[in-house]
Amino acid sequence: MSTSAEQVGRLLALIPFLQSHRGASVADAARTFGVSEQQIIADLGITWMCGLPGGLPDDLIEIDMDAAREGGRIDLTNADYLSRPTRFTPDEAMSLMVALRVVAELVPAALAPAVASALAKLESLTGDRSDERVVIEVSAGVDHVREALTRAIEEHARVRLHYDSATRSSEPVVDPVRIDLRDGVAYLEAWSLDRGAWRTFRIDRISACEPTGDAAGGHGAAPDPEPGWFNHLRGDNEITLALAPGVAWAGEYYPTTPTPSQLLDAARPDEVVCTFPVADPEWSVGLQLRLGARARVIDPPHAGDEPAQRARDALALIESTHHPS
Amino acid sequence: MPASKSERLVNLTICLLVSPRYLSREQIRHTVEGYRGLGEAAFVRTFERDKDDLRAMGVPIETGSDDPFFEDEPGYRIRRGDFELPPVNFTADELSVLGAAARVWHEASAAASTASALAKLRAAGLEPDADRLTALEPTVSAEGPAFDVLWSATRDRRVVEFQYRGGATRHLEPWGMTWRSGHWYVVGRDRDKQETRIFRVSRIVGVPRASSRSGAFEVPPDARPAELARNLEPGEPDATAILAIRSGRAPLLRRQARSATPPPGVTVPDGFDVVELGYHSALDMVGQVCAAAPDVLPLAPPELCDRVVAHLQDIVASHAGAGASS
Repeated sequence: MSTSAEQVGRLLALIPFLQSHRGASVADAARTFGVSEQQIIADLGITWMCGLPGGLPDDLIEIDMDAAREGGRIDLTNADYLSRPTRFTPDEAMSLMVALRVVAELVPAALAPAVASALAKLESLTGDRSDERVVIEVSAGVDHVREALTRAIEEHARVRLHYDSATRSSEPVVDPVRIDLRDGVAYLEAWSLDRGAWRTFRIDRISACEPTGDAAGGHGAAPDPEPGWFNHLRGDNEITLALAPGVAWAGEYYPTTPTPSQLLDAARPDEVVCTFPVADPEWSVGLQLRLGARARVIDPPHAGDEPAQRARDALALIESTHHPS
Repeated sequence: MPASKSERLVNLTICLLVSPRYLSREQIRHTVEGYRGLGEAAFVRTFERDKDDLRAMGVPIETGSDDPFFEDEPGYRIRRGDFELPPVNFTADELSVLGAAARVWHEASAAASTASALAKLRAAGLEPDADRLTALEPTVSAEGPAFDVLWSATRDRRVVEFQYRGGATRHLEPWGMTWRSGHWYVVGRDRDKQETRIFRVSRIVGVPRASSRSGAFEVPPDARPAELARNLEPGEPDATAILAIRSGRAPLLRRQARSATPPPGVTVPDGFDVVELGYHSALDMVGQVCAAAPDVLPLAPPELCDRVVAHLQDIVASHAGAGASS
């Protein structure tokens, strides 16, 4: 959309906004419309020139421009005929309704009816459910765990998790602070008392969560959930694998980081070289065992030792199941 | 100049909105400040473009005539009922889920559209509550240049053409989009192959192009993207594996399993429990068992045991071949 189309779309909402929010601050208007304060001042400069046909001073929208520029407060009058915003565009309706359906996947069950009724009201405003052409699938664990976590976060309570990793279960005691959705998976961001550090837990691997009876401690701000979010999961470890056809899916399925250039030469023509961040050494061993010989270790050079040892141990045990000792 | 154009478009909107009658082009030319001083040809060109721009923004400019005897000279107006957001009210709970919805999109046009929808609600005096569900960060990623084109083509039912993984150009009627495991897929009818197909958006090369007008096809009522996306799921289990799992280990695999008795002639190592679970893809089952080696051992069926053994032997052999120490 052109600059002026964006601006006109905004003006047709800004004019009613400033009438339903008499004396709104320039800062609040900027926040509401996602633009800079200078842009709001520029918008007001245009609005001031608009009004009823005729062009007489009384016909124009009135704004105290000095109060806006210097005092940061906006007083707009004489625009009764633009007192309500325009209808939603199809894109606004679809984007907001899909967003609500994502929220529905994470909210406590008590709020599920509110999501449904909000969607119904939005539909009544637009007569449109093209959002239903978009399907969002989220792995967010079971309701009762999410409820318990949400309550603990709101009440600043310490909890004990029953957490299942691929290899074993554990019962970490944590102070939960946030539920993040990343790549379709809901994660709990929490301070781990065992580790003395911020940790991220997949919520679909938490089978239960109970309060310890203690209040959560203060640990400063949790890591930012913004893009690059898995940096803090990474630790210092990475593994670089050369993936043959048939296992190249792993490079698209799991998060990867750029491969150091000196490692790229190690690939054969049909292989793809991928570098995976490793938060937990067990994960790296499990990945290699799953992918098998079609994934060659490039770096670190001895990363293949442990998987090979476990493969030998497993072969010996499988052998023993058929030849009782 | 964008400034004077914005001013002219707002004044045109107000003029058509407050007029009780259809206004002819000539009346508009003399009424709206921004058109005065333009020659006839320049005015017609500018007015036509302004009209298109406003309609593209969703401003409903209607064409018609109050006088049935002068039908050949059309007039224009905006009906308030079509223009304004209808009356609506939200409960406190609804406003808090709307407040959380504001944080879902971070990129692409969907983020800007959600923000402007919520700004309209605020303009109507409704305040989405961003302070209540602060513990939730329900982010959906929508990065990549292909997303925006497919998103609006899906909404407007326009055919798109694109290159997929180096293959020939595809022509797709996009019926829907699906987000699963952090990836976007577009589902629809492939016009070249004459069949229903699903494409992963990140594998589209370059930027797709919308190659038809809006509403160029109908989405079959029985072809919901949710159902098509289910084709991506593993199929229903049609085989049963019997496994030995070391006590206290591999809890995720154990969760899907039931306890079972060992097959005849098999000795279970000490400290292992016997479970069974259904599976559809032998490849996936082999992967799951091997990933948890040596805490999970296959006991039956024999084909599964053979494949696991072969997979593990390959790992040992290639590790020895790589000359690594053991």
